[in-house]
Amino acid sequence: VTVRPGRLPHGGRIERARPLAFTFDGASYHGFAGDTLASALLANGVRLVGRSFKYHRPRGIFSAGVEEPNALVTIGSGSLCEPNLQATTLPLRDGLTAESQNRWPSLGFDLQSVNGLFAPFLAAGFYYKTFMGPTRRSWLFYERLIRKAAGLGRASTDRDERHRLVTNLFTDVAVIGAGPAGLAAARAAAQTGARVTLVEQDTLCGGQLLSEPATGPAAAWLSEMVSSLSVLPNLAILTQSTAFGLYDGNVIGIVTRGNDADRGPALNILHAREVIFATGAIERALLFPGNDRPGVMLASAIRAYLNRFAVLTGTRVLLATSHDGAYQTALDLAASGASVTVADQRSRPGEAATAATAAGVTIRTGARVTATAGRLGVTSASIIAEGREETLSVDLVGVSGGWSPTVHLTSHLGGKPVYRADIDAFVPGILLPSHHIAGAVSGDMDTATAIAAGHDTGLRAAAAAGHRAAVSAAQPLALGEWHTFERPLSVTGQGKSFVDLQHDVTISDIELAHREGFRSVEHLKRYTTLGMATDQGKTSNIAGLSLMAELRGLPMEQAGTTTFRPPFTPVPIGALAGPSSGKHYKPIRRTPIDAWHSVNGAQMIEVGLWMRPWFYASHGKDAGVAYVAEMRLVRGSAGLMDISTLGKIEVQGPDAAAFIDRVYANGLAKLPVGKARYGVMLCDDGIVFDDGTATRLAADHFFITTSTSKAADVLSHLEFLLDTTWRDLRVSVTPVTDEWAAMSVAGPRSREILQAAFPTLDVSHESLPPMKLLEGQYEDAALRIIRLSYSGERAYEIYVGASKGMALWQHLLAVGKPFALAPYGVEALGALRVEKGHVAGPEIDGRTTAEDLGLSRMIGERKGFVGAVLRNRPAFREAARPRLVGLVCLEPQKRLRGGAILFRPGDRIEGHGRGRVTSVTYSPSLDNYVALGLFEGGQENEGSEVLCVYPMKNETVRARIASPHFLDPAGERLDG
Amino acid sequence: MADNAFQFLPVSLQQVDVWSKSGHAALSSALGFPAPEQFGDVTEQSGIRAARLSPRRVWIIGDLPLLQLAPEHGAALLLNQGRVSCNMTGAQARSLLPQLMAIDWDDPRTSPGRIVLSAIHRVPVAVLPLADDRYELIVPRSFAKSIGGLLAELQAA
Repeated sequence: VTVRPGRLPHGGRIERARPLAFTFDGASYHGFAGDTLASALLANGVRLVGRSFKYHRPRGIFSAGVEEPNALVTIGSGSLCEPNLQATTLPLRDGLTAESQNRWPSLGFDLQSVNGLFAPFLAAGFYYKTFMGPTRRSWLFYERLIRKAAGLGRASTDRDERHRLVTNLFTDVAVIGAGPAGLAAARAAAQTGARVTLVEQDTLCGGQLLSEPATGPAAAWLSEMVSSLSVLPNLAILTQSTAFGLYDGNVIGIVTRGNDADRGPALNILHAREVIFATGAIERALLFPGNDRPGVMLASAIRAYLNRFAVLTGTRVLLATSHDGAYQTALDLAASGASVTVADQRSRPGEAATAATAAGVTIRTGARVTATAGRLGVTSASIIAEGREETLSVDLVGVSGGWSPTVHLTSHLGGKPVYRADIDAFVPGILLPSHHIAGAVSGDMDTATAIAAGHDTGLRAAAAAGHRAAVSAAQPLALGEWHTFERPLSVTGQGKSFVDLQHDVTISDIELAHREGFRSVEHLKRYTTLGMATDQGKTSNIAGLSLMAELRGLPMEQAGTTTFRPPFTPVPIGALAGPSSGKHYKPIRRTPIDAWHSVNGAQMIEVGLWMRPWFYASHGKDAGVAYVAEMRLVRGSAGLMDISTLGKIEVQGPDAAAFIDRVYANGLAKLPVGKARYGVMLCDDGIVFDDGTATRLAADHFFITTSTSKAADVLSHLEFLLDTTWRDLRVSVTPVTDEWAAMSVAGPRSREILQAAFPTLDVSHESLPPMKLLEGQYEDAALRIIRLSYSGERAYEIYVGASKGMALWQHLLAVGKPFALAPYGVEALGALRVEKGHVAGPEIDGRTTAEDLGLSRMIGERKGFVGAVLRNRPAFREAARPRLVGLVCLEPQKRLRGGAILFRPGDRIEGHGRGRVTSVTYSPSLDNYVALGLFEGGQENEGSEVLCVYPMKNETVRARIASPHFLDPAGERLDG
Repeated sequence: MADNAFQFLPVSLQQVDVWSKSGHAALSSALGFPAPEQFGDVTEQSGIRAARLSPRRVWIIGDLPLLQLAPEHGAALLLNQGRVSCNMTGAQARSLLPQLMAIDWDDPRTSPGRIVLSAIHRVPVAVLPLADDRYELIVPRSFAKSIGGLLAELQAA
């Protein structure tokens, strides 16, 4: 042998005029544009690239693509740190900084490789058996250590500020995979005029053709094909783009990695009418002791590095195989000057062996590998051939156990792969009508066949999408490949034979799982972790399933496969999030008065999607101080509250009254024009859905309000009823929450403020009594004033066109100044309603009935509304149901807390108690903490003492059950 | 795209729901030109556009007093306070839209002269394609600032 491993002086698809510098574990290297990190490392003689998941065994580059189980690296640092990237798919770029993973202190000397000594204790499921005692909590201790010892790379917790693009794309025909079949399919479909999108995970189109010599007939065919595609305006080619998932409606998730380090991976959401899967096939490994040593590599990968990247990965090569296809690698290696021995499991190799012998390749028939040796890389391999043992000095062991069609995406929508005995592989089963397959994924491994099938499939898919045209056949390409299919023989020899390289799953683990009764392939997977982690078992699944089938004495088709689910390859969470992070994590709603709040000391708080004033700093340095001051303001003079967030819906039409009457539990059909009424909606099951008000603007026109949080739900509920249940009703419902700025003036001086604000309107008690509507104009915008109170004070809800909301707010504050009017926030609003005993979200929590909340008198014996039937279920009538009560704190130095569990004195303090505290406030009027709660039997217990237990703070506070109306139970304050 | 491309401005808008074919005819009569018949259709005359949003619902965009329809025909409602609009123009508009919503802008059903209902960041929006590089976006007023900020960031990226 005269050649040396590493970069060959010529050949390949690399750009030798564009050298690139990079580092790996701090050492500097050079590669070329067109390299992957893996090819550049191999070109620089780096064989050891990682440590295994469990045993920390040295591992090298095993493949040349997405199936790579070993060569996982972390690139970048700080917020740009990205772990678990496959060196085999990572395009080399200048300045790339890559680090190996899961080793300490160094890759060459990893202390945790001592785990290998404990291998007998670390078999499949070891942690379920070994780390369960001595106490139940012991696992929590062990888990940390186990997680630290095992694992992959570590993600950064720093915020990644890079822009992450999410784009929706549409196409008539999506072709996944740009190998010969995919290229032919894309060309044919595009030439019919269909919009075609070709998705390729590699940087280049070509698939397996890229592993052919860069100057041969395959290269010429590929060049001509790519040129012909590049001029088609209706064809889009996405390279470095992995279709990671297929979803309902032919939505294909694609993650695209560019070469720009300043941009994160992009998410493309491709909506396709027809999908062609030309996803190719992945070579299988062979099982033998020491098959995980650096220098053991898939035969197809050896060929890819040789022909595509001009890297000779070894000069003394043992090629172990069970079929003819691997011989092409032997021939190419021999042509490059390597010394090659083929260990063919078959006693009678096919015609490929004849050609190989002629090229100087040594053939051992009936041969199996029994061992490999070498500390950090293979230095020798032992074989047994026709009963004769032999040890060869080698620096590279190629393996090929056949091919597995890449069926993953075809299964994402539930399609089950089916086993084809003639190729000993699973192929896609029943496909959806809009799904098509072509090339190796269908089991056709021959290039010429794949091209022809791709062409036909492209035409078929285009026709299904409505595009038909006469299209010339794709240029044929005959490569003289050999394809035979033989199932690899079982393992001979002692030592660990790895089935799943990434998760360190050995043959022994699978045998153990079988002995312990794990018969289903799904159970096998979960018990042994076979096929999990980042590579999802792309090179290991079939080998593992074959073993399982053999152990159970079943044919492969009965053993079946595990379920393929998205993602096909790892997808960064950031790519899925796209721009929806940080301040754009969710959309924010702002009221028309938002700008005023922001510059006038309001501390804003998120309420659903809305930003609302929590409290105003002018009333106190924190919420605890401010809300009490703001409550006193409302009780003492007047407060102004931005209530624009209330849900508002206009209900119009000749049948509006009938409709309203059916959706509210309390009757509203007879509500006079110009009047408002409190209303309760129930769900079908009789549980309270929401509360609000309905105001009759005209005989056929209502204006209803909902709680802020239920606005969308109520609208959806109303639309659903009209679209499905009462389609005969001539009713229009329109969300108008954004149409109106709304504010509430509440307090004993509120009427005076209104008189000052609207001198032309009569707002006297006689003209505007409680629950009355007054309409007018403010600065040419519509104005509605409804006398409604939420706080228990005399109060008015004022609605004005949103564009005039800010002006009216400022006007009210200006005219209200002499009356000490000031704004108040939602904390005070909530506290005021608790004092008054109004129920809200914490009480209307999806579990309470109108009876529970003391609202049943409003409903009476009415029928014919949503929820009317099921509200009478016996369980809802039980006397012991928790019902609304008031609670007054009995311990001066303590406070009540929302969520506290209620017990009677003497009860055993455990479980769910007899009820719960729902809402709490400090009441300035009573100078005490008061609360609303739900307690079994409700107000029949008035005067009883209860214990409010709050386990989170280990608190127990005594309280007395009282009427929920802590303030002005007769309603004199709001009625005057 | 112009610097002020994401400035949302008030839009003159009213909504009409019609109950029947006779209501549709009454609407056309009130408008003075044929109201759109199919979902997504837009008809226009003298700067007034009528867009069919659903089998019953039509939006009238443009300065027009509230249409008076007999109750047996339909109901009209002014919506010119709660919705705002912005024009997206230029080549970037076309590249920005696919980042915002899952709509096929090459589909004839989304061509100029149509109305498209979709969502940006889960917020309901209406898009009126005006030309190949010009789109009018109508969004709820309360979300306008948030959506405008998102648009500006996407444009700058």
